[in-house]
Amino acid sequence: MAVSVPSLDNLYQKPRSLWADALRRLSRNRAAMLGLLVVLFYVLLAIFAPLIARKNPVEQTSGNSLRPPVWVTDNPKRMPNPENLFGTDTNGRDILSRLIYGVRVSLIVGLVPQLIIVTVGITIGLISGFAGGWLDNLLMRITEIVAAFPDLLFIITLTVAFRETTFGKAFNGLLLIFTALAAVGWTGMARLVRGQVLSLKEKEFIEAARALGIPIPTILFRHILPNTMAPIIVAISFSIPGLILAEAILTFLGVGMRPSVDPTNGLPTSLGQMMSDGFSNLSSGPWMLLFPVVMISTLVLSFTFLGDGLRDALDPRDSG
Amino acid sequence: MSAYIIRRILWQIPVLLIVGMMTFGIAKMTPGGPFDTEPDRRQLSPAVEKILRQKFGMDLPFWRQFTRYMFFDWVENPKTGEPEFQWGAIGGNFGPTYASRGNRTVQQELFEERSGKPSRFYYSARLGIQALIFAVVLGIPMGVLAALRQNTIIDYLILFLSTFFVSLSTLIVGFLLVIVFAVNLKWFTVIPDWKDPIRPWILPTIALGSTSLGFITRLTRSSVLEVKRQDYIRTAQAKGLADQIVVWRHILKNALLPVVTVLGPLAAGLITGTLYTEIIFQVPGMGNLLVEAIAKRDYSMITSGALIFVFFLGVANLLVDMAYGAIDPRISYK
Amino acid sequence: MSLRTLRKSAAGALMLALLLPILAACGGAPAAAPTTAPAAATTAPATTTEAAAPTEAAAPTEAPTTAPEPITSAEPGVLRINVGSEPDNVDPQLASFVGEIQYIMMAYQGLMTFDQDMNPIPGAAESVEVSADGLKYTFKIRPDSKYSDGTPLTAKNFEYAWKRLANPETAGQYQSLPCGIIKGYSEWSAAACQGLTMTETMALDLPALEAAYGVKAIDDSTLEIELTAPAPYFLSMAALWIGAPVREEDVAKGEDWWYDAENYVGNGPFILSEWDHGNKAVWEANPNYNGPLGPVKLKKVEYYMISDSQVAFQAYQNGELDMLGVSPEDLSAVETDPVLSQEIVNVTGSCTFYFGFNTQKAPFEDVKVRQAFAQAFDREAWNRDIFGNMGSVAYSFIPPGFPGYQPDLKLWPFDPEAAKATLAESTYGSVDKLPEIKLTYSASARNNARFEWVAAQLKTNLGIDAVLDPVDATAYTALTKTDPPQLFSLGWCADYPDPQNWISLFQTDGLLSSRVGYSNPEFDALVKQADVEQDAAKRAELYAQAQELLVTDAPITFTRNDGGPVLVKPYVQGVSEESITPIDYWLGFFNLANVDVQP
Repeated sequence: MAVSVPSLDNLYQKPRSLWADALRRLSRNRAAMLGLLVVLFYVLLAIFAPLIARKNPVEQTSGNSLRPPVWVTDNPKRMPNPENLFGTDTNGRDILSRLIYGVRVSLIVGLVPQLIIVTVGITIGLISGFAGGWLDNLLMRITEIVAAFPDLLFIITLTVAFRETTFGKAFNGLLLIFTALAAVGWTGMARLVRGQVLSLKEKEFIEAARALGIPIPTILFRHILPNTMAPIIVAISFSIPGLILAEAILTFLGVGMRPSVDPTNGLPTSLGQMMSDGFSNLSSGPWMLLFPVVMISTLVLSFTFLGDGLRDALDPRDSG
Repeated sequence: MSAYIIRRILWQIPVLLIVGMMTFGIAKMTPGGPFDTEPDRRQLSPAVEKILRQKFGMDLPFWRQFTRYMFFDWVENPKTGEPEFQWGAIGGNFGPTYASRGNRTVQQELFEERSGKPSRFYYSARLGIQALIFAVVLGIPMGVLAALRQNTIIDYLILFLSTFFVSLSTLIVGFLLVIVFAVNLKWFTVIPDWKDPIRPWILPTIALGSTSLGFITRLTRSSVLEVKRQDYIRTAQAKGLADQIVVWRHILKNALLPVVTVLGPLAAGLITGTLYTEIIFQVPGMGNLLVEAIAKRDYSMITSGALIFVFFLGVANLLVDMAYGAIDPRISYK
Repeated sequence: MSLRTLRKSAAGALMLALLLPILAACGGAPAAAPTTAPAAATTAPATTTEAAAPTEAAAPTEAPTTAPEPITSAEPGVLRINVGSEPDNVDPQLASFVGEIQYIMMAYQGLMTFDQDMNPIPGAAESVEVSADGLKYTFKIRPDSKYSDGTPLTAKNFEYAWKRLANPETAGQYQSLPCGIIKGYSEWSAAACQGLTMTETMALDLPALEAAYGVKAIDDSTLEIELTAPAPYFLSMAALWIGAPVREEDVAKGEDWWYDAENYVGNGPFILSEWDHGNKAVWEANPNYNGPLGPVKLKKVEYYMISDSQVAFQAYQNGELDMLGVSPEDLSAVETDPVLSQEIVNVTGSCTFYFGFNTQKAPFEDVKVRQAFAQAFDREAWNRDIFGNMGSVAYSFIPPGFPGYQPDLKLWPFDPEAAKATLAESTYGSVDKLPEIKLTYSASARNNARFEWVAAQLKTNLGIDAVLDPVDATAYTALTKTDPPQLFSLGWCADYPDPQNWISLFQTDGLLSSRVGYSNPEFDALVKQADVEQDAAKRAELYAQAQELLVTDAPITFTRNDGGPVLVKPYVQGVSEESITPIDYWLGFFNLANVDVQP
């Protein structure tokens, strides 16, 4: 392993330069930079939603429902309202404003449970793969049990049981959704990491590290983990849309976010929710589906570009 | 190796028991019952509900209900009043479905072939396997190609195509396929004719496979990139072996590992049915039935769904673990 | 611009919109993708009316057809409709849902049936005679009646069916419906009518109870049913699916005998010739049918099980369905489409929706508060904004078209000022002294949007900040039965067309009154009298008085009735606004003899 030793040293002694290196490589990846720009744009939208949105996202105007976007003027029976740039939904609410607030919730839903998923998944995967034997067996069987966990039923139970408590109402019901999504979401990650570790731990450089007497946690987190990063990043960038869409499904089934008429609510709707509403109204108001779908897919694509760019940039063997 | 397999199979027993207990328990805990039907319609009179509760043993203590479902019990025959022995899930009896008022059992609903019509399991399993094959057969070459042409237009195009479907819900992907290929191009019908052995399967296979396709493509790409830069590959290249052989011998073999890993859970999930694909393409599979069972609080159906899922998950994971050994001989199980 | 082109270009535009980001990515364009994409996308529908649209390459096919082609049926004589889902059980004596009854009524015919005005008329019976005291009904079965397989149908078959309904071992979901009406029914069906346990019931002298049961076949063509008290609505009850003459030999084939099409042999207008579970059911005309719904012109009826309304809508437009109920979401698309708007047939529904006030919970123990809420709800706007004026607004319980409908009973028209005044008369005095108002409803994405609208109404009209409380549908049903919420939303749909099926539910401890804790002795007395009154006019008057009392007391306030447009292809004949009955098992069922599908 003559060539890989310097890079291992790199990782070991000068982590800063690795990150600096990675950043340099990332900044040269045009697709990744575009992804980063789009993600930043949405993050800014989410943070400054109250300043950017011209209308209140929950404000309903009677008789203003299902207005098309302002540039669609071909149907005399249904003319747009110049007030609503992207049209209105079935309740006469401004779609543009709802989109701006919706990005907020969707970003939170896509990212917050991710933290738990990644932490738990990686830890279990590392331990299971490295320890092997009965511990591996036990952890993997637990993973299977969790994967079969009846999450939908569990969410129904929780939402009904906690509908009048702070836990159920916190963040407009989102806390409950996080809990439920994170509780079952880590199993795929755990197995993926374990599979990688199984193969890595037999490699020479790990055997060498063990022979040198390096403590096991150090081997796990310093030597093995960085080498499993590639599939992890791919899995994360797939799990983000997974979570955003899972929230949409829950909302569609009526156990997701709580409805909101409170004008001061900072989390009134999500892109996923708007998408499922839009799907039901596809023939009468295609714009109700189109805008959230475009936003979700650009968001997901950007995360993907960014994720792949990151992966490439973090690859210690990449000389580029 | 065979000792390892036997041990793994034995491990499945507690897994199945725990999943059964957990699902049955949570299902029973969930508010509302199988007789709380559409709120806008006439509800069962309390007296009739009482009869049915007795018929389904719902007034028994929880442990008794669970053992009746999972293992066996002596069930009182309403006519004679005599207890009669009856197997539970371990004897292949997954219990009556509440939705059918007890006229049909879960195993009949899911596995029975009747009057020459395939079972719901057949539809789900076939669709799931087809989707998986679709995803693997297209995904791995696409991933390899993307990796070999890293940061070129081909790479970006593959990246986009494979992510495009993931970024949309299967609901919308499926619906788009219907609009484009059934409504506009008329290659298919919106309503499938399941007597045709091929035609109705094509669109749902694509819709269902597309999500996995993206995942597999990108996992393959990233693993191939990873392996491509390993020293032995560089050595092989330096030795002047033909590019193709290097790729297929070494890269692919090593890159397969993460792909094979995700195939386990993917397969179990796809085979036991998927809600949206079944709804859009009107596939008479298990997915829709199992989700509806939740709304109907059809306890035996809900629990059986979880048991079947975890059974296939266990089998798939065992196969995956054995495949590890084949792909990378250094991985061994004792 | 037609919906067809809109839809096509919408799909194309959607594809294009989703392709744009990658084009931008490749070209290195800035992050303008999210805003330019929608712009391009939604201009597409607008530009298709002009010839050269830049998006046409992306649109799957060429857009507008100038001359509408004549619409032709796929196969003359075959009617294809969507029933939404696979039924769970179609055993007549066990079934209870519309989706199940839809099967039973095709294959079987009860003693009675309904005409297009929802009056009970003889069905499998040729005639019915009611004794002067209203206690004995004598049905004469039509001579030479046969099951679809050619075996004779006699009064014995009906005796078997009505006994099977009452038999405690059957334990059907509607078993309690005839309790106390047919002689000996309550005694025999002791579990369902008296609340005995099964074990207790089985210990009774069941053969003796069966012998004392008031349903008897005197001979092959005569069936006698004795009642305990006069029940003018019994003829309607005799038309229901619960008395469908299933055969003993079919039932003997196993618990799920009904699952195989070949066992499902009846005397109805159609034969279930093929049942591809979860996908479709095919009905062929029954040549042996001799009842009032025939002779049918249709050769076949096909039931499809498409659960998603958007997919069903596509199937209809693609010529794969001949009739389709329009969901409120699709309404505006249908109305603005030149082709589809010509295919609309309006129907009245059989359901009334309402808000229930739990009179046991503050503040709705006060009748003035209930009345104020009833006045503060703008039903016209509700039906217009949310339902696109489908169906009708409701001020009283019995829906239009049903016997007992009172069009002039509008005690609480929308009037926010009057509502505030009424509230001021209550013990609470004003809005800010009311406790928190929580509106509970069955959770779904669709209902969330609807009840957000309701909350906004309460805010605007009464100044109340209502809390929305969505509960999972099944848990919600349980909740309304066991612990009814303070303010909730529900509906009721007719079983049979008689005021008794509506008004009686609000007697003390009735099916619906128990959910709002309503009890009014005066109301009870009126209903009790009406239920047994044999003079039709007098009976109607009694129910009318009771309904007025119910609306005045306002334990619930009515909002709307369902109904609305159904799309019917022009080649389908005999399905019109006049011929569709609200309780039709599918649109035009009671008008079967006139329905046909032309080439």
